[in-house]
Amino acid sequence: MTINLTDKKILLIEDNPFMRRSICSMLYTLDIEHVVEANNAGKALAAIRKRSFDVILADYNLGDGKNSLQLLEEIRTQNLLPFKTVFIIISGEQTPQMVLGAMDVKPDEYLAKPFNAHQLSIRLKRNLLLKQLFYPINQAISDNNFAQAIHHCDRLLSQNKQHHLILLRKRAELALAIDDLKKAEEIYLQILQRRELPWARLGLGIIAFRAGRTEQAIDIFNKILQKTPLFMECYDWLSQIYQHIGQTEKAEHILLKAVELSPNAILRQKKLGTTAYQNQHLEHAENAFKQVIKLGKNSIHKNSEDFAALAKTHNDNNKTHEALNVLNALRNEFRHDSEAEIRALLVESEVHLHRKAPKQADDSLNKALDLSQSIEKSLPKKLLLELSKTCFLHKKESLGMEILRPLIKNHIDDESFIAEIQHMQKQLDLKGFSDNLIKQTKKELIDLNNRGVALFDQGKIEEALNLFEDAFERMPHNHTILLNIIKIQLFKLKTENNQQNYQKIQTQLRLAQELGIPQQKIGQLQIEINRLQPKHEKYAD
Amino acid sequence: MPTKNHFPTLLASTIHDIKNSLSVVLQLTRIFSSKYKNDPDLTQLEFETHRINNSLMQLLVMYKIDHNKFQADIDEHPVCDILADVRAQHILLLEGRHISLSIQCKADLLFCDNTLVCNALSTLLNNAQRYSRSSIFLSAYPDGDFTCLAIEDDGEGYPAAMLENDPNDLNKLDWISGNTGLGLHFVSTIAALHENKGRQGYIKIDNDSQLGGARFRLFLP
Repeated sequence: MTINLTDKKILLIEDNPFMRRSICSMLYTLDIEHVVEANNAGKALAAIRKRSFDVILADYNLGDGKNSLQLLEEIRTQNLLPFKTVFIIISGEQTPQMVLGAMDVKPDEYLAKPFNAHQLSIRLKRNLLLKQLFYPINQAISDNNFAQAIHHCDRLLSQNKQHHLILLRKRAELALAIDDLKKAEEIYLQILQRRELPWARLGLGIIAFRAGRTEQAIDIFNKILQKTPLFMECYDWLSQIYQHIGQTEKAEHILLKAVELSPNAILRQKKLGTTAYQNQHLEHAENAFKQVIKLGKNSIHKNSEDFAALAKTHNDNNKTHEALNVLNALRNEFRHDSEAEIRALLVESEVHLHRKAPKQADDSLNKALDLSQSIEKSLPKKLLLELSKTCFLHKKESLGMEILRPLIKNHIDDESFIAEIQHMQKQLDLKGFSDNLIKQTKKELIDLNNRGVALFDQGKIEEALNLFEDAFERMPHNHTILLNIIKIQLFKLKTENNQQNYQKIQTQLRLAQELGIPQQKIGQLQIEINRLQPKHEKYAD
Repeated sequence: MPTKNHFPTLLASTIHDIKNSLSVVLQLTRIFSSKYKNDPDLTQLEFETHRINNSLMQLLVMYKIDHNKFQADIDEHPVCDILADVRAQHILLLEGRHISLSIQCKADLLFCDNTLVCNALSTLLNNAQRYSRSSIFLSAYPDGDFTCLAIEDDGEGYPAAMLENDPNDLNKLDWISGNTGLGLHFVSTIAALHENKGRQGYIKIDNDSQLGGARFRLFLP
């Protein structure tokens, strides 16, 4: 594969006019004609929305407003970055992650200045070549066709020696995505035999975690951090695992360490805030949430939730005045945003309760309830939980229960959310208000499952399908039911050979992803479905 | 918060600023160079700008290493790509000074921190340019459990006093008179950051250059 630069479309983002001109002239010496220039992130975003580019070349600092990492984060989150596009950040340092600290998002390359046209040409070609190499794999992944992605990856592995390691890494990630832990482990061990690489070791830790070997995973992650204490991703995994086994103090400690090393990663700061709040370390939580709000200024991750969390923490920490100030800021930043207003009203209600002003507290809650009734789209589950909680605080038990009941029914197999509900119940000393409902709903789900499986075993396929489809209409967020529907559809696809079913099942798979069912739970199903794909739709190699 | 904690950020953002200025200076130099047909004074200016840039880079990396804020980012890279990178960085300058650079790559893939190794070789190539007459030879080849990256020139060679000491022994570096003080210190530090199965990277200097001048070798496990 050789790369021809002349037909490539480039977006150059640089706020310094002299530098912009000089990079432009470099690009012209490389015979690149399609260059679009932008002097800030806003203009760049407009250009990116309008057309696609082969390369986005952005200086790190872009004056006021977003920097180029924040721009990258935004276009990635909004799916505006095609996987053929190379994103290069021009910076003073070649590996600035420590100082910039935003590990949530990584460009394809950091290009250190000053550089000349020769260097630029080499970097452009190298990155474009990689994108081209990975194109079929990434295309298949975005089509949800993991069988095809693995097929392409294996094919490239057998042909390409120069990029062997990076292909192996991808292959291991694909194995993890379809929950093929054995294959992933085999690859990581194979790599580690050649060289002790932290990311391959991390892979083994993730596998141990997934396989339920918690102690082993913790041990692996700790050993990696002893040797490479700046490997930020490893802190995230370690804290996640501590969180998972209920050792929230340890989870907080690990996050705190990570944040000290790399203070600018907004999502990690947010996790720290939530965990510290959970542990009732209010000062720590305050600091973290303040940081989140500061970092969110130009970020796609700016969220009214964080303002509400800070206000709540202040209130719990007897800082009424500060809490109200934060709520003012929230309303200023999120004008005409009903969801944000509901959040503000709920915290406001708590603040009024705290300062023994029940009348005002009641007012705020009622406003929140009215507003939540008036908006069309359904509110996020966590906000609904807050709403219900505030009702309980005001001794409006039946209203609280009315909100809580569908939440439990709908999210019964979302373990961490159910745990949150139980946590709230304990906090408010609700004496098993929701426990019974949770128990009962779980039982109903098991019964439903058993009935469905029994019907299926008796060969009453359509009846089983109807049973689950009816149930899913009542509980449109339920993971277990949807997975059962997909499994039955898959069976039908195998036996009936009706090609229309193929499209149907693909839609359901996408729905499963939208509902947040973990990739490893659907990966195997995807592979089976891919194998049954109508012949004419398969890609040529 | 004490200023101490701000210093790394301050340092990095200052370096970013200085590099912006250096980029502009370099670009202006090139504009003048094409106007005044490679005036030797302008070539010297470009050379010095590169030197400032290299020194800045080294300072920052050394500072971070000293404060445990640095970690090599090891991955597998084609050695030829590394040599091509280094060449690209220096090609304009070498042409201006009428020094020929030949490259021989007999090694295949190498586990290393690409950025660091490029910086190291770049620093050394900069030195070599200063002391060579007309040609420099850059090569890479496997050497037992190591890969060797070598830079040879046709200058006077290293002074005898420098060759007496082990360049990997930082205590023995001649800080006061050493022109290459920071450079060699930097490169040997970088070499040592590369480790594999108990073996550590190191450097060697001698005057056994095929071209008759100094020879520098970087061995990476």
